[in-house]
Amino acid sequence: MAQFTAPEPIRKRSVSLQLVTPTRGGAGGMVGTSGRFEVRSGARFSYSFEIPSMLTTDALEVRAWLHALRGASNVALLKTPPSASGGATTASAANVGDTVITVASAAAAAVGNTFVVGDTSSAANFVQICRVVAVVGSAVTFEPRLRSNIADATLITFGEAWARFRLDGDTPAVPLVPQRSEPFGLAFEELV
Amino acid sequence: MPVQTWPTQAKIVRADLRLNVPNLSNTSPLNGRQMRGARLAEMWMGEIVLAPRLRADLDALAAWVETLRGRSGTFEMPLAGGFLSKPGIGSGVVVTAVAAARSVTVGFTSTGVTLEAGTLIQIGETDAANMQIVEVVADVTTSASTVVSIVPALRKSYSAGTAVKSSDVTGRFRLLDDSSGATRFGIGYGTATLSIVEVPTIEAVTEASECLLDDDGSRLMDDDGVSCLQDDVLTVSNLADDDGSLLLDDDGVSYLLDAA
Repeated sequence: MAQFTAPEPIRKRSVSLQLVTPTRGGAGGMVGTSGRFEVRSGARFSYSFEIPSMLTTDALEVRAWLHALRGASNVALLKTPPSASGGATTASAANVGDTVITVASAAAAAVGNTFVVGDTSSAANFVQICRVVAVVGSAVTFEPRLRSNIADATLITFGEAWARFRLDGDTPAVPLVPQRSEPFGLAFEELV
Repeated sequence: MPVQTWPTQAKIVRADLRLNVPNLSNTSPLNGRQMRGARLAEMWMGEIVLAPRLRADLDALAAWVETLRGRSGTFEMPLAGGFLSKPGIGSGVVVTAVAAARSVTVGFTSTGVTLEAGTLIQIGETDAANMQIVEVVADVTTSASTVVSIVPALRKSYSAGTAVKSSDVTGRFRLLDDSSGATRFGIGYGTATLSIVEVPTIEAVTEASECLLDDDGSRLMDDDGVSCLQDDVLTVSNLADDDGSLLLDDDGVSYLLDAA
């Protein structure tokens, strides 16, 4: 499973970064009610955007990157969208399943901002995207639950940050016309 | 059926070509983790839009499409020199060392040339049994020891000395479905659209007196999975029987890529 960084020519518009939490029906639903649902493991962000028209040379570079991903089998490194506030800090140790971490500086931790736990500098590093749901002092509450334990002083990056994704679905074609490409959409899901 | 050459009237004005990568895919019911893997059946496919200049050219194109006889015919299509690829290596370049099947890298004798991501490269001559079109994945300046990262994975092994080029790259394709003549060749605003898929070339089979054998000794069969192929003379790159059915190994799954 190799990692391929999104090439520089990629520009994004109509960006959507949304948490998808899988659930399953639980017992106790009564006739006429919507039933109960339990959260399953595997919550992940889906990331979709449109790439505007590019010059041919840039479009061919993007095509090569998409093909290098070999469908969903390889990993795409993409930057998450910027938030109103952003920046790097560190977090204290936390455990798998936690939804609260204590950060060294909560200045960029506004409700609704996304942040990335860990960094992609090594393929072995744990990386997870989270979204802030509450901030009390240096305690940041977020969704989804941590998928792994994190060590003390783990890097936390609010706002735009590199994260790992897989293509969601078939490799799309880059629509090429003379001199340029036409706009086209891409859909990814967070690597879990 | 002989391989059809690309008609002079056919000017490509749009190409939505991509590598189709059939993925093995599963998501763990225990922890939701994805399990993915690429299968080695990657092929170029997609749609091209042609814009003939004159009505007579359009008619000639329609006739050319019909000579393909649905999916059974194979045609050559130029892939370089326009907006489908980038300029790259010059002439006289060959593979430096044995490049094994399934490899995603290959070395060339060309040195000091910058190959950019997105450059299409043809390994083997157009009429060679093992010709394949690959794409450079990352920018690289070639040297004597350079290996170039490519997609898709090589279908066959290549010996040192196999010709390599990035100009005059020609792929072999066929229509994606039999109804192309009737529906895919839609005419609107002076353009015609074709859905196409790459034809992985196979080595020449000139006679079919008995059951044809794969080079691993397995029998060739129609894709009905029953009959042994005995009934026609095959030509290079024609993966179809004379009834138009696809040739398969007798494992019933894989396309024939490796016949002797």
